[in-house]
Amino acid sequence: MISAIYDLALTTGANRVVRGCRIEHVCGNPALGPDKDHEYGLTIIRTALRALTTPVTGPTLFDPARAEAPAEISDAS
Amino acid sequence: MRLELGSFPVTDARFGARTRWSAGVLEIAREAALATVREDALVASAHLEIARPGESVRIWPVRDVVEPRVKVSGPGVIYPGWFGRSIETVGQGRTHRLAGLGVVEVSSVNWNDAGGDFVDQYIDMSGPWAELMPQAKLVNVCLVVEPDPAMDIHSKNEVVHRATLALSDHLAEAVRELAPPRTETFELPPAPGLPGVVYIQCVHSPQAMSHSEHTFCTGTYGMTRLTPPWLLHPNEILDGALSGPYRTMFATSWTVVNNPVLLDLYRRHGRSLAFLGVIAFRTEWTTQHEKDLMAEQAAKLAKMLGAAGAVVTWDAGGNEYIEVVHTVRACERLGIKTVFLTSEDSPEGGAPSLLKPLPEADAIVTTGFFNTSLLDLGLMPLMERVIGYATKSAGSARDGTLPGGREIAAAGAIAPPWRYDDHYGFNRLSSFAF
Repeated sequence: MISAIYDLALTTGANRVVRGCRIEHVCGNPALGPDKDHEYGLTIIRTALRALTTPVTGPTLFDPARAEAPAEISDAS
Repeated sequence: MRLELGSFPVTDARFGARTRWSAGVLEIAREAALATVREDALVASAHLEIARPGESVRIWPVRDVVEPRVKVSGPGVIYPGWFGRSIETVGQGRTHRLAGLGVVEVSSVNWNDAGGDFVDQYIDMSGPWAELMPQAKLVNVCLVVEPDPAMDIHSKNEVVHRATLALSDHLAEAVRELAPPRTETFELPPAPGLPGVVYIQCVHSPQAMSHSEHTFCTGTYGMTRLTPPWLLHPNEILDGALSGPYRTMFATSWTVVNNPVLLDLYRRHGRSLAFLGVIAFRTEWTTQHEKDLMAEQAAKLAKMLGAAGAVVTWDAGGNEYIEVVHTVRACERLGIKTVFLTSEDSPEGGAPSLLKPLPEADAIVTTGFFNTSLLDLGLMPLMERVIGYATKSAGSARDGTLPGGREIAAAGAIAPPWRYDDHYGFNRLSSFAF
């Protein structure tokens, strides 16, 4: 699940949560301009695909800003 | 800060030769009252009607209910900040109010044309919906007002609420020079030895979703944009520093100045607690980061004020719950005992009725369910008279102007508004645990 309010997604039991931008534009950021926005959106989608292929044992946050494997978080708060 | 609040009870209103109050009856010079509204060249049409408790009347659609108040002495103006009204700090001197009277803002103007953000509240003056609505117990002076259709949605919102405030001002002027039958003094002298309590009043911001920074929703001195928590003296709120049209009848201007949580905390000051002030907390931040920052800052402010306890209310639903409940947690982590008043989401389907139960939120008062359908009220009965608009959309478009809606008679048997969220505990709905 890609979510700007990732804390809620983790708490409600989503196993793979990708950190989105803002509620208004979860998968992109128009302030970056068309090219960088596209690039940023791709990063989020790639992170989501990476999440899908990563085994997890509980709610886990994947941050597009970090390429390394995420720490497992049962509650981001 | 000392405020004397003089109350003039209103048990009836009628149209007459001049606007005056006498022995509980408000006489209204209809044309003179409307002239104050029509002074604004951007008002296209305006008319007035009176609705009394018990009458077979439906007021549709309702954007706000305002209690007429006037500053008799002390700085500033009542309902400050809106659309160029003075921003001078209010809360001192003397204020007079017409108690039991509501100025009802009725207009076809939506909050926003995008995203289904339409007005869907109505008031019945009799029947089951009236019993559940505190505003149905008021003598209601209804202003049906339409702005110039050429304007954008934000300007239309502005003109409509400005008109309501103009009418409220006109009516309140009737009691400016009179001696009030009842006066209550509000001040917060030192209360040594008693536990300090803050009231954290969370109010929605329309900025993120409706891109309106200043035209509707409960404003802080007329400002509704996303801003860090504000510290207000409760007297400022009694003078309308938190006011404005809103999506739910439980957070209209009338509701906020008559908020029982605020008044009860005030009346306990010096007896069982020391009321330290109100933190007005703007909600609907749109990143986790911002939500958590605001929660931290509100709790810090409460701690700096010396709070041993806090009461938290909110006026919205959905994702705003996160900054609200994280404020509860942040307060508890600072050692501030915190009580949270909230409506609950639907318990149907086995989902928790609070989005995120937190162990720190260990003192929760439920004020019912957001969703009226859970009250199982059925359809509201036919009314003899409709003030406002004869038809109402129903179906998939609900009350919007989007295609797909079905026009039905507003006077007919119709569903109650979808939302019933008594945030501040006006009513006495009770429940069974089973």
